[in-house]
Amino acid sequence: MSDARLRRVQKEIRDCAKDKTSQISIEMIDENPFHLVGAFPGPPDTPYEGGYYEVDINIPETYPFQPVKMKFITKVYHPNVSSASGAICLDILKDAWSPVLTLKSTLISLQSLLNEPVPEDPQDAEVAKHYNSDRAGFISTAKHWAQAYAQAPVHKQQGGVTGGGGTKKVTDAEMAGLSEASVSQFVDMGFERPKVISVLKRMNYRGNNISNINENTVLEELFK
Amino acid sequence: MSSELTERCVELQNDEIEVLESIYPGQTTLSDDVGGKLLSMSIPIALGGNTQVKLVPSLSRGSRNGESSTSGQPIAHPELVLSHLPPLTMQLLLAKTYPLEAPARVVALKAGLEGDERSSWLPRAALQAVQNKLGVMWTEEKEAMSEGSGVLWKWWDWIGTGEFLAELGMMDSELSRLSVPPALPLSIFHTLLKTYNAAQLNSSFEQTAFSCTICFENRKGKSCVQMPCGCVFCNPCLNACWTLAISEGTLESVACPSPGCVKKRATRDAGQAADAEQDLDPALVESVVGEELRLRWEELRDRRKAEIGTSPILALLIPDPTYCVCPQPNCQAAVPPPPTPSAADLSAQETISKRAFRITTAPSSSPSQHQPSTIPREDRWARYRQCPKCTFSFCLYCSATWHGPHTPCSFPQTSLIVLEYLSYPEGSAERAQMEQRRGKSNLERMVARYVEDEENKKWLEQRTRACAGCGVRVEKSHGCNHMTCGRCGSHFCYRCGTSLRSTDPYMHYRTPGSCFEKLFDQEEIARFERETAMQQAGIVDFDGGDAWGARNVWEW
Repeated sequence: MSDARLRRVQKEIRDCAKDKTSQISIEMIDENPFHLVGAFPGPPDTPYEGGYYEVDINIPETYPFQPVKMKFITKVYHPNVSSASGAICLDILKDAWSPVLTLKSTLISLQSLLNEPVPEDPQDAEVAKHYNSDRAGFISTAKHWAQAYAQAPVHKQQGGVTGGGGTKKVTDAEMAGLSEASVSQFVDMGFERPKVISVLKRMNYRGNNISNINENTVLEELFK
Repeated sequence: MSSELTERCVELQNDEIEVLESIYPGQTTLSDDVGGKLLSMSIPIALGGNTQVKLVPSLSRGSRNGESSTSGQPIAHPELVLSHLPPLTMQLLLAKTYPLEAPARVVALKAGLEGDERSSWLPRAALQAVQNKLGVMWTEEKEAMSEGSGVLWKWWDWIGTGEFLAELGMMDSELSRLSVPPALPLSIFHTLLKTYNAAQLNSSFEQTAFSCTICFENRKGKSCVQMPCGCVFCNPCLNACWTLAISEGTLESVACPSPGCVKKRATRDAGQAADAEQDLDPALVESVVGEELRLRWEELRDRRKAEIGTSPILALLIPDPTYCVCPQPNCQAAVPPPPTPSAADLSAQETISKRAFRITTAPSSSPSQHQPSTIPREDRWARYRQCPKCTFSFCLYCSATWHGPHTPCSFPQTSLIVLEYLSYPEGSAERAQMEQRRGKSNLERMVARYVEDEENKKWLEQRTRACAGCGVRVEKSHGCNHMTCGRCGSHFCYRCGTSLRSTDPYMHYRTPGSCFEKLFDQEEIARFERETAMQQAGIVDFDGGDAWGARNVWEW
């Protein structure tokens, strides 16, 4: 059986190398054919456009009868991807796996997951909240992440700041999807900046949601 | 007759026969005859897809066709869906001057039925019409003969594709009418056609090459398996897939592995799942994994049925809660209820009382259940069970060896004794008295087991949640509160334990109620926080691990 697994994986790697149209790549890291790195470009017309996403691929002993293990190596800001670990919430990686699926088709599914998030079935609760309550803010943070971690080119028009030729430095607040005004409001009260960012992020202190959150509740959290 | 003409004809004949033989190997035979060559052809008829076939009793001899004679009413004509009809066999005499001057002469034309060679599935008139038309075709094509295109191929094609049926008015718009041969009962004719069709379908499946979508190898149909849903996989792949599933106990994978079918199974409700698992034909399973694993599969399937039957929640949903599991540790086969007429009703009651026993070890909560006097006398046999596998006879209530219908179960007494013992203070006279009567070490053993059981139960209750489908205890390591059971595939909420719809499990968290917007617990969100913070500080390596699934803690 393991012979069949090796044959199939080798064929999958070969076929993927031959296929120039899909833009999916599957490469070996060392001589182990069961630990691979897959990669694909971020889908167009998404915050991930222009980015290049690498995925860690672990092929279990029982492949293809049990699902391949995949997680993002490149950090992604997406409701179905853990922003901390890269773990992915996708049905075909769990109970909807079929031995007919391949590494390539699974990577294509990941690519389309970037295109169509499923916020009802999130892997990352905070990102999902951000996505649901403040779409514009979410998109902007996802773009910042794509630029910072996935080598996406910086779009000049974005953010409205076109400094004299130099790229704009993305602040820690922006990376957390928070507005500088909200963060400095509490920093100015004397709280430490990382703590403020962490609490506001957890409380989803963004966009219209700010009006739903009592300032005292935030302070209570900060004093904890 | 010029020898040049004959020579040319022999050349053309040889070419034509050679072509036929190479296209239809084994279906032609050739022998020399006085007037030329005698060629036999057996032309199987493939209708090019499924065709409705109506069987019409022959008009003149209706009474001989068995079934129709019994009632004066015209019976409904039985219909068949066929794609293959039995071959027409034809003997031809090829004169020395065929094809340039003389036609091929049909010596014999038969539409025999395998299994009943004397009957013909086409009436004589139809065969005559076929023969006439063949003659006409030769005349029409005569002009082309000199170019080397013989008529035999055209004849073969005309018959083999079933085109002739349309031309004889026996088939129109995908419906064909066949009259039942006078000498045959309708049912036999029906069976013979069906058998022939199935054999042809099977052999054409075996001849076809398939590309297995699991191993990507090309294989002949005879080493492939076609699932009831139509998907085809090669035998070695399906064998590996199902062997793994049976040995790991993931029975839902003993089914079609194609993505569409997997998805369909994943999104259907638990009750349906149990039904559909039984749909797979054991003969098919055996043909793929062999007898030993087929038996194991059936055993697991039955046992699962038993487990689901005794599970607290599904017992109320699934109509068959009457199975139980053999209490012998090395057997544990599924035990069906005894075949009494009211068995279903009785054991449904029993399952409920049995459950009460399992949940409440403390007898104080429902002492009435332990008193056999409350059970009607005739029902006391209803808790008798015998394992079909190891023949162990036992009581459904207490799982001990069958103690007869009149003796109460001894099981609850154990915990009664322990509770009584524990209720007295340590070193008291009452304890000493009990120790004297029952043996100190005995009592200590009972207490130790009781305490351990209680601890286990407490731990399970605090740390785990029972699956809403099969009752297996599940411990969540991390992730959201929507759980999918790794054992029975049910969806449930980890917070409140309710069963969730597989089609939209997240609705539970969107609708106001106890778990509204509680897909993630606060601790879980805090954990995300910590991980992110640690990761930003570079403490944690970038490893989510494979702990996406919940860890199962099996109920003992």
